[in-house]
Amino acid sequence: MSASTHRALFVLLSAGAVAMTAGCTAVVSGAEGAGSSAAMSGGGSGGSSTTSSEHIPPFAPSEPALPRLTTAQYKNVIRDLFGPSIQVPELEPDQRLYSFSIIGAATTTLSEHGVELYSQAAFAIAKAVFSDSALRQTIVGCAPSTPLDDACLSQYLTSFGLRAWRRPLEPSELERYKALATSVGLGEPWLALEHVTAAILQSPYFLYRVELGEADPEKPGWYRYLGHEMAARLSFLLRNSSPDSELLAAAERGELSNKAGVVAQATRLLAEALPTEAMMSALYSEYLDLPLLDEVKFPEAMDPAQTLAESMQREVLDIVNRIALRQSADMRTLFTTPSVASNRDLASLYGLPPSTAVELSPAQLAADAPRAGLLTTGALLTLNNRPNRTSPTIRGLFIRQRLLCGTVPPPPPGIPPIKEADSGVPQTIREKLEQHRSNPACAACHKSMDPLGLGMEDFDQYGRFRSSYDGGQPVDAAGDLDGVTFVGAKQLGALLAQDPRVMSCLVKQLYRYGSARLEADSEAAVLKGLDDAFAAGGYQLRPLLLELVGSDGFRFTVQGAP
Amino acid sequence: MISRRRMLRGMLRGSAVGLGLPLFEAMLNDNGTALAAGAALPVRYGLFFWGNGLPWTYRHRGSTDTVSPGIEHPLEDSLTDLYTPLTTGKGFAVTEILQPLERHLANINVVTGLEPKTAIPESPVGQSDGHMRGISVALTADQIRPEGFDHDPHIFAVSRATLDQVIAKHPQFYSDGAPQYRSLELGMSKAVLHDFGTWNSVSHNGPNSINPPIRDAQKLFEQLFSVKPDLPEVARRTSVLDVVAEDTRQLGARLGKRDRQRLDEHLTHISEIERRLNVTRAACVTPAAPASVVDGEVSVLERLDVMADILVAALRCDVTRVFTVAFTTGASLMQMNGAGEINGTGAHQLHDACHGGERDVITAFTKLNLTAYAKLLDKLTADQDVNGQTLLDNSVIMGTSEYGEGFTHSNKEHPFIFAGKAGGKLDTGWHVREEGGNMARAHLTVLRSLGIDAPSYGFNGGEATEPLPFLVA
Repeated sequence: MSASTHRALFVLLSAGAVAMTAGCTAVVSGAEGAGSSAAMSGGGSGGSSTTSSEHIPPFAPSEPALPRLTTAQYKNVIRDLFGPSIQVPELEPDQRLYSFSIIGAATTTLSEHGVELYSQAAFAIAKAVFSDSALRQTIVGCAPSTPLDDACLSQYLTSFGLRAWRRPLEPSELERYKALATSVGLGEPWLALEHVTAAILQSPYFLYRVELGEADPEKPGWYRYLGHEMAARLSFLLRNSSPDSELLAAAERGELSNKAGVVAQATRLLAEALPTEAMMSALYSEYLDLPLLDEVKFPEAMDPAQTLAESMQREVLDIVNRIALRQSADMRTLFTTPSVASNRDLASLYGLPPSTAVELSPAQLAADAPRAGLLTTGALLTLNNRPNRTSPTIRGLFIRQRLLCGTVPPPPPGIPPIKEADSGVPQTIREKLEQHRSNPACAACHKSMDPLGLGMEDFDQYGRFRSSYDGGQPVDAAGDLDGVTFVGAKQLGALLAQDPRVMSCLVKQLYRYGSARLEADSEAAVLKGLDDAFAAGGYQLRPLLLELVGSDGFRFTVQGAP
Repeated sequence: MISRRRMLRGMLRGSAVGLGLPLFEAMLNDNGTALAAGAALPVRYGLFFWGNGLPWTYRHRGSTDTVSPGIEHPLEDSLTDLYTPLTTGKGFAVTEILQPLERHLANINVVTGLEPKTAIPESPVGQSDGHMRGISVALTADQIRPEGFDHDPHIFAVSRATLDQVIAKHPQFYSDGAPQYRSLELGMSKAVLHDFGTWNSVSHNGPNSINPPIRDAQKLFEQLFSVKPDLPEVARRTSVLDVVAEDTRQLGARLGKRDRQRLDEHLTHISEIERRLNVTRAACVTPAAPASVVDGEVSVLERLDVMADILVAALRCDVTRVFTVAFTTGASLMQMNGAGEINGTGAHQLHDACHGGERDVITAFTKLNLTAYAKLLDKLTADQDVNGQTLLDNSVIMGTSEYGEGFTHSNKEHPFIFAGKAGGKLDTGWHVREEGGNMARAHLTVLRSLGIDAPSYGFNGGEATEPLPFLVA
């Protein structure tokens, strides 16, 4: 019940407004798909990097990020530490920046209330664990005597501390936590262990991912992540949770200080089907804004069971996981595949035979169907619209920003609404948006968005195919992708599949997700290397992820500026 | 059942006994003018915020200037000013938009015509954006954060702490020791453009550091009034927090500057939590647990009603002296029709309606917000403070919004409605018209009314040195 689907841009103005003054002095991507001269400063969030002629500086590592655990990660970690019976209380909400909550988690500062919620959660979780006599026995792993004996306390702090903090405790930390147990009172051993646990769970070493590295003797100025830090980086990227015992053991053996060791562990993790699909689902949900579908109220006839939004989300994730993981197919086919997943909610939307099945099952779209690929799924057609109509501008912005990694500057202030024509004849959205083209001040920015979205007008705001509007006017779904014309969302999907910017953008988004921050300009060489490897490998996702974790960008950092 | 309000009234007449003492009553000096120890009576600061400014108008009453020069208004003839009072000074009459506040005219000051004076750097583009500029200057008196526009889409607009946090952390404000909470942040509408950043929260500690509001009455109540752990457990938790603080200190020392600052704030929060654990609240009446409010936008006024009761109890018990209420937020997505019905037939999404020129919807929405403001003031005037005056008399509330007129997102004519006498530092009942005046005069007035020495306030071209005229010298 928060941001709605059409939250995408207040800047894009409602009924498609007319800009009065030029705000788009720097125009977005050119027709050749070359790197755009993005107007934005900082973070290097500009255009694509597909042209090879430009000079790419040698790679230099960036400062480490210090992300706190996202809410999803916190829940996963607690589940992995204590099992599924322990409930996680409310935490401060994630701040999603650049699509990903992990970037917000590395950027924002916790509020006082947020720290208090973490503290309360730690006390509540510890209390729940230690109120369960079987569970606490399992977690502690030794039988504490009364008063609490040093052997059991040390053993617990050592073993649980390693799992919770993703690294062994320093001797001074062991002493500090032992002293805490003493101060709570050794006479009540379980109570002491409970409070020691509560402290471990609200320590910054638990709440934040501390990955600072150490000076690399072979590369002056570079810091390489420690073995345990690398175990955590791999695990939070590929599992959205803390490292398993094998990763910790590999770190202990020193295997994660070289590329081969890192890639070997990532290969092991990526071979496990279900957790890897869960990771991909979490990643793509954020990348594509899928949870915002929950805010959409569909017409009742479309959604009698009130599960359409959920089915739409599950379908997209099913397609992504099928192509990326189950089939290890070319990721470009995401935009062209005639294979969808359907159930009772989606069958009629897709013109398939009616179904009563709640579960999704594979279905094939006809070759002459108006749909194919991700862009024509119910989910992606429904996202990025206004409440009562399609928004070619917002649809176009989504493709421009999320799929092409282009930037669109904010609009100037002082923008009145688009005026309806005086004829009394209702205008199509295309006619209304004509003002974006006829006014040069608007056109500078809007030409990067509107022509993409106008080409998707053959689908309404709920993803239904249409050839005419309610008023009877025929739909004109002619669009333009940076100089290449097309008709309809299916053709746009085919163009995106062929556009090198799209795969390059996916690489960039994965890199941001894995780094918990935007890429720096000095990382262009790594991104270029990943682009090239992705292409050479036939755009398969698993090999790309292995390249990513083995890259210098993922394995090296520098000392933070003092 | 006798309501607490009636009981308090009864208590005023000396007929009711048996209630716990309100804040400090036992500590007052004989005249009831100050605390027995000589410290001044506490004065509170509150922010009441609403999204989307005001319905637009062609020309303001008393103004010769069109609000948006060069922009052709399609409805020009009908764009009468529904907000600005016809006369200035005391004794002005309410206008259609101000009508919900009519019963509080003696308690408020309406200031019209103010606007941001902060500079607008040309690069990077977008720093003139009405939403961001309006919100940032209204909350901080500084220009927006330039790099905010590189965010996708720019969500952390402010470049410094908002006024509520400046006050809550100012040594001259809590000079006699901070109460349990330095500030409380409440939210009512959940129809937010984004559930993060500036769109979700009006209280910021600085760039990338927000204080998200509590939007659930039950959670607010539990946070403030749930039974505290027993003394042995308080001692144990204090030991835990000591260890965690030491971890935080040691980690912070190893970090680069950017993350060390984040950890430093974290450490400050830990010590606040530890301090709170060990602060005992003044004996006072704990409010009843709140009635449950149906989730959803149609209950937004009801949510305010219930949460304001908890807030008032918190103020009276001196749990805090600073609060923010975001009744609605910037670029609100609440859905309303022209009759003012939330989610009613033919409802428009607010931000859409604003751009789309649905002036009747915006008018109704603005009135809903000021109805809520009046309801909050009802609560603050119904409750009695330690010295027999109302809580509002000993408070200053700054009511403001995200920009002036929604239609063009113009930053001219930014609305400010102050309430309360700040313990006698503010006169009330005025309409002050300062066309083209510096918005930071509002902040300066608030700071001085709270006894904070501020020769000027405002930044980057927005510096103000002259308070508004109702500040009592």
